[in-house]
Amino acid sequence: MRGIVVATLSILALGRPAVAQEAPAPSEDAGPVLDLEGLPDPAVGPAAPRSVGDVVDDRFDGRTDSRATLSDRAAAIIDKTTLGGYGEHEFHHGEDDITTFVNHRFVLFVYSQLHPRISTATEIEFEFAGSPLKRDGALEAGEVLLEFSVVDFEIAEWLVLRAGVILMPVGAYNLRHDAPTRDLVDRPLAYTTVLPTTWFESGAGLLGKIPLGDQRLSYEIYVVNGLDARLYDGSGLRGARGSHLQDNNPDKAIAGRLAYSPSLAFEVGASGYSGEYDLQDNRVNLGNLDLRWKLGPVELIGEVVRVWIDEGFVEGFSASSAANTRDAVPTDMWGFYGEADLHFTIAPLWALLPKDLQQATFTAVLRYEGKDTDLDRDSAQGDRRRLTMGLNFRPIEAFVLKTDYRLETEGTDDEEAAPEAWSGDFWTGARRARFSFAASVAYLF
Amino acid sequence: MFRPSALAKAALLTVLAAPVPAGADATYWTTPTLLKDFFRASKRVGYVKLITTQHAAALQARLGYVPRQAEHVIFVARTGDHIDGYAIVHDEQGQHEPITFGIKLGPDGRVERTEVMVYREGHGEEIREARFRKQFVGRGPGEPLRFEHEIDAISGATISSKSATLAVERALAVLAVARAEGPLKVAPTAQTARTP
Repeated sequence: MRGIVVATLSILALGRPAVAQEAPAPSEDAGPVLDLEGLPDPAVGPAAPRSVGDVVDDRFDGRTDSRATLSDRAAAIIDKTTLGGYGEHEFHHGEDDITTFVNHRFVLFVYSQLHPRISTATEIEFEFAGSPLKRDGALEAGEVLLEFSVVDFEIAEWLVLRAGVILMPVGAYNLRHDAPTRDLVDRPLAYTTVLPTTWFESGAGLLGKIPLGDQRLSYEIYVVNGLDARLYDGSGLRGARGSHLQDNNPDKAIAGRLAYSPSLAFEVGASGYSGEYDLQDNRVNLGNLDLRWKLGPVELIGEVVRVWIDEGFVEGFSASSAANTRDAVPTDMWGFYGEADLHFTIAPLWALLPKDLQQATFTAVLRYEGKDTDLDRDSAQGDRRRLTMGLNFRPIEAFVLKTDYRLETEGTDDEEAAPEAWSGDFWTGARRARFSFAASVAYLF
Repeated sequence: MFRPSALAKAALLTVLAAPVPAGADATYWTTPTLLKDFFRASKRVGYVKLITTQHAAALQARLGYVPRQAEHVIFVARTGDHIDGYAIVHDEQGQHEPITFGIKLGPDGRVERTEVMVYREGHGEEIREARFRKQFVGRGPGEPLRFEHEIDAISGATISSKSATLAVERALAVLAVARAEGPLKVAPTAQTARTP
């Protein structure tokens, strides 16, 4: 134990890498004479926050004063807290000609800086309008959930302590899943199942960024409760995530990601997860690689994920729980997607737009993807391939209208794998891809 | 003699004595500190104002829109009669809060340096990284400065990246419009500065 303490403190004692840009402290007398009389400084106006180095804001500190009125406390909190969020509302036209609007998600974002070194951030998600939602004529539970809720203590730019509901640092998509920042309506098949975005777990750990001149190295590593035994072909790890209340075993899982960015246009990341999923010491191990490469107006994005699971069964929940299906868990999964985005403008169209919308951009998207949530057997739910063509329009960066045109194949329960797009079966014959359409509007606020 | 407790104390003090991290919601530069750093070799820095309503057509022609700010302050650095450069400080809306930028322009009106003076957002502070800011260096008025074309966004800080692009584009246009009417004349004191 002493060794761990000493090692940790030794690491902390290392010299901090130079941050990209530190606030200087020029001498009052140095440099030119400034003739700025009567000119307000936007950097120190009433809307500006405290300066770096100011420990607390009296007004914010005053919210704990028992003599403060309710309005004083509210004003103090609002001064330090940013509210925001995003939403996405969809329309789907399925392969069976069923059409429906889907009020998919509305996420409220709350951020507050308690101190220059301490901040808290939370996303409160209302999925399918929260609870209840109506399905097959009956009201069922929707979802109101904290998928991300952390408090950070920033010792240095390269060393931040984080605890709470952790957005798992596994794969780039899980970390950057906000609908308005993505160019297609649907998330990749594998990244809702094999790697179940939005994947969140209760835990704690470290993160940081290390600028290396024009390059950057960043990391995140956490100890979390981790997945339980609800591992299935079809839904992958999705049912096993989200340990808000308690862990289902004494083991704590470890998850982490290391990302390297040699330039603004390129980033590669490697991430992983390892943890026991039951009381028999059986583990889930996961590895993921992600890549983002921007070549002028073209952006290439891709990820591949592989999961290895020790043989076991869906059990170990309380005796009365319907979750104890005793089904054998799949032991091997994988998935991938590759996406090319072309950002472009149509200059003649600008003349038709109001002047303040003339920064509008279009994005054409082509994505190919697949997943197999049980590599030992092919099935209709477990094996999928999908080709998506999309076109979206962003009049401003925080608002996007998306359309997806999808062709999708699946395996069969008779052990036939899903046809790939480069095979004739994808385009013709009894097992050809089925067409579906989706559109959405997504916005940040 | 090796004493872990002493090492522990030293390490902890080292960490706690570190400067406040460059986190969100922070002022990195005030206007005076920025101007003194921008124009270390100059003798004086004064300012002139460009009134938006008086130059709406010219600004519209360069930007495609008329800025909502009623006036734009242009700092002018001089050594004797020689103009060493210009600086413009203004706010651009981020995702939730305004971001205050400082842009230094050379005597030829080209961007020499950009700084984030105040960052108030929860996320996106990566726009302070030198590798992002240096994309603007050398850009001149009338040249394309399109987000996601000439300027690459920082992944995960897209809106802040676009805010920076718009801020620099507006600074270039404001200075170009002001200079189009001849050399900027700065009065001896700020109170008597006049619009070009």
